[in-house]
Amino acid sequence: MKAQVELGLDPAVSRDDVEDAARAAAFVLVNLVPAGPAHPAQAIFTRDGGATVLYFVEGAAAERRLVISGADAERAASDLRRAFEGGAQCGDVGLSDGGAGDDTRQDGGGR
Amino acid sequence: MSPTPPFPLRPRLAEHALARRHLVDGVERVVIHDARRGDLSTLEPRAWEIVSGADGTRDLDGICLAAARAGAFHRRSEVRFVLEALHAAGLLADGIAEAPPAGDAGEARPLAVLPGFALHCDASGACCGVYGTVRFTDEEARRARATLPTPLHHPADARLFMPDHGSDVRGGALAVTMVDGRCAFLGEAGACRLHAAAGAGAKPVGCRSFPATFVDDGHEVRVSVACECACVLASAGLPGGEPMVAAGARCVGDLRLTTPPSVLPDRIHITETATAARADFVAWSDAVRAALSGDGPTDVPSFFWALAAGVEAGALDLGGLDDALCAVRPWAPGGLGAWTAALRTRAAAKRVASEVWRSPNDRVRRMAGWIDAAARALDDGAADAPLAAPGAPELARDEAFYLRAVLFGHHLAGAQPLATALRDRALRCLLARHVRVPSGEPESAQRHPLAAVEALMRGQGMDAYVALVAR
Repeated sequence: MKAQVELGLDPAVSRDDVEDAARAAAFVLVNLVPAGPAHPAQAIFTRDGGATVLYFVEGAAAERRLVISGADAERAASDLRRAFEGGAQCGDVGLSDGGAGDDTRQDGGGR
Repeated sequence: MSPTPPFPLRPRLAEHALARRHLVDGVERVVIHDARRGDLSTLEPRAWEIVSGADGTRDLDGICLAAARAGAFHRRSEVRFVLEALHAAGLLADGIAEAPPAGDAGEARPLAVLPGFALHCDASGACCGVYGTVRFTDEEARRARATLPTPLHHPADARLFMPDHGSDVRGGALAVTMVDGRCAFLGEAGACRLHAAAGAGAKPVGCRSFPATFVDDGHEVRVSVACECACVLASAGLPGGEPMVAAGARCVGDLRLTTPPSVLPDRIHITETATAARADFVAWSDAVRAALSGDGPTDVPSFFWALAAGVEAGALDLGGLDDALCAVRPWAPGGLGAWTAALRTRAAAKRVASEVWRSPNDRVRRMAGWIDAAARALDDGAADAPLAAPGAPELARDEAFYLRAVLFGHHLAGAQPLATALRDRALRCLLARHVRVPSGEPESAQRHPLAAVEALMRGQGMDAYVALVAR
């Protein structure tokens, strides 16, 4: 079962900050999904040959978050946190942990 | 001034945007020339990877994804920034480019070759290092890659060819990377490495036919020469040499050109407000050429200038021809100062721009320095009569040959009205008289400075100075 991690984003975190962090964490942009009636806009990145996927969900302030899924989601989330912490543009992160999903909790200790 | 149009929904580089990849002292960069205004913009290679995705089919998000696939994506805002900068410079268009109209190939049109001329090439490769573009067809590029896969010995070998116009490389002409201003396939000793490796047939047709020009006047295709290489001027009047077209070539179809001859339009602008029929222009041009004595007019610049005045006064009436032929020095034509001032401005801008991004080893940069100095000297002296006569008999011979090549080849019918083109040619001759090529340069360049002027005018966009002339 794949893990999933969600990271909430502080309003001060810009799209540039997210793209910088994604790149620093070795994610590559693979798709941009415009907002639709049923879903907000998303930028989708992958790494590990597509095994780990990062969704940057760009909705209203309350909806802005990162969703990381895949077998290595925990490590990828950790890499992203480090990237935000190290990012010159975003200072002391401005990133909040949105809480892990059930999959993560089940999967987290197994690696 | 017209307002900037809205940012394109699906941007691409406009047809007048000529992107060229250069290695400058080993550093890769992309330069975009604005063929309409003569300006240039420089881009880092990664920025070009972004721009190359803007092919008129993708919106901004699509360009971001194309850049990501090319490994060039960092930020969406950066993609937008790069494209907006190009848009502000007038270098973007919207949507896919329209295919050029399929013209009359005119394969059966007979050839008329400049009489009495054959080329003595000195094989120095000088002409392979003065142009902004060395053009290949897609097939020629593939053949060149197969012959010499890594001519640069640099990672840029993977990106050897750029689109000739705009940003789409599919099917059209391609421009090869330049190394310190020289063709990537030019060897250190001045010989073409494609030629050395696989024979003359391995070179692009444009290189094989250089310096010939081909202009279809509706009756025949005039084959003349561009006087942009010292070898051309040095060849004038010499026996022997390489003919301009292969023995036995009688019509356009025999030439196997990859770019068809340019075609004179049905109506030709002779002044800003008047046009003439193509046949009348051809008759005028031939009559002027026929009226020249064996040695040409006394003074070629004054002849060009007097012809311009005649065209402005009486269309293509040849009544003033005798006066033009008799124009004698000292010579101080009215209005010359506006032309020399414009030339000075453009030459200074060209020198400064060259110094910003070109290598000191780049011949174009050095030539821009010579031309700038000459333009200043010419402008400083323009108010004083008489203007300097040719300093050497060779220069006078070059001017006379140039006049014949220009008239025979219909080079005066182009983007500018005939009267303007005539004054422009007068200025080029005057400028050449002031060019002082340093002693360390090839002797042929020192003896034939008009070639450097001509090369920079057409090959490097110096001719945009005409638009600066205050009228």
